[in-house]
Amino acid sequence: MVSINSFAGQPVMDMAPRWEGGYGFQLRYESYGSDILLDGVSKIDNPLDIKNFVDKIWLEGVYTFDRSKRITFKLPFIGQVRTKTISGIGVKQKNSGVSDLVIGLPLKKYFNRGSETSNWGFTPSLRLPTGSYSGDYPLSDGSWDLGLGLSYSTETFKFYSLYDLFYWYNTEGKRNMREGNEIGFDINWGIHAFHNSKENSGMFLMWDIGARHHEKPNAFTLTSASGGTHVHTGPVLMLYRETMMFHVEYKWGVYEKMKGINTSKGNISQISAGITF
Amino acid sequence: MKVDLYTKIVLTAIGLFLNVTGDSKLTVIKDAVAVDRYDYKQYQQHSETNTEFLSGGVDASEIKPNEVIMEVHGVVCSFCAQGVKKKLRKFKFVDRNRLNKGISMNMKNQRITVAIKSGEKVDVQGLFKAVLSGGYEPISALIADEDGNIRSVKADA
Repeated sequence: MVSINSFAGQPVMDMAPRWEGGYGFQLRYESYGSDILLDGVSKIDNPLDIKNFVDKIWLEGVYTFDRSKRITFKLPFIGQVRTKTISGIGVKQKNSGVSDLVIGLPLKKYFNRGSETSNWGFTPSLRLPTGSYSGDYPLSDGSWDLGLGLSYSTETFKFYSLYDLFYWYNTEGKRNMREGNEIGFDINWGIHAFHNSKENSGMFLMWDIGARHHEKPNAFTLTSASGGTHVHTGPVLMLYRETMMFHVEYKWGVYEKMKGINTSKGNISQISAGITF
Repeated sequence: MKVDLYTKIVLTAIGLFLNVTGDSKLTVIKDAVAVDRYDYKQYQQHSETNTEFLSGGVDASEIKPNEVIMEVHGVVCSFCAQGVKKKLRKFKFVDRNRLNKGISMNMKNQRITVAIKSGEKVDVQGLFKAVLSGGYEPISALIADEDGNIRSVKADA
């Protein structure tokens, strides 16, 4: 199935397209942010109305050489707005534009056993500094970053599950900015709730749990990156019809520990639509 | 307001993707009737005389004349298996006027049925290769010619 969650360490699509010469595109809207101020894990007063909201629209694509080798790209368009404390007062900053392109090379080992299909995935990725690193609230730190992902997914006619562990090594970019390395883990469990074989349409209902630990960015970093540990969880709905798919998910932040004082990441919502050929 | 927008988008998507309108239900029923009608007499005679379990878990009683039924491991999601359909439909001997443009998939028991044009020779190894390049494991196939004669072929391991 299509990887409805476009995890940092995951390819754009997981099970599909798994055929030789297959390719696909996906548009994904992601939104998060909050005006809740945290000191470590504790919520504190926010008299200056400090906040941070980020919207991203990802254009994503995949090409499958054969089921064991793919290449993917993800290009985000970001709109971000925040209020930041500068010299004791709250200053509003915003920026929008294309950010950093991510190229991935998912390598997969499939096992087709009777009524089950599963795969192990190993995904090296490269994040290119294609976004602007200028201004008070830049879209990129201008660095070349390396990612590694390890995943396992299994699927039967009724059940689906995906486990994904990833690590991003973020190098120092322009203006001495360094966003800090990130490690994350995602679990995705679901059921194939409905299938119409005549029309080749159906629905998956899933639950997702995602955990992230991000090192604290250095003092020169002006992007939206913030260090800390976050755990988000929530439901996922995925619909498909012939070659098209649609997904929506909403995840609540159930645990957050910030490095020092920072805004909460807030809840995360995503909507995407994709097509394969 | 954002919640309202999300709700509208999700409901619209469910309507579009699952086609929950009266017209679409009619289409489904018509298709089902068309498939059931197909050479029913031949199928009856055929299934009365070929009920043995031939190979790889494919039961001869399931097959109709001018069809190939393949047992394919791993086929559990039709969205992921589109590539197989696409590759199978490229064969000239596939009758795109029957089944679902020549192909029918049963995700519950991992069967792919291919409709064959009358009088055409079937390239079974080609079908197996197409399944493999579609991302799945072909196990075996039953091939029924237009007279109802059945032969079984195992895919190479």
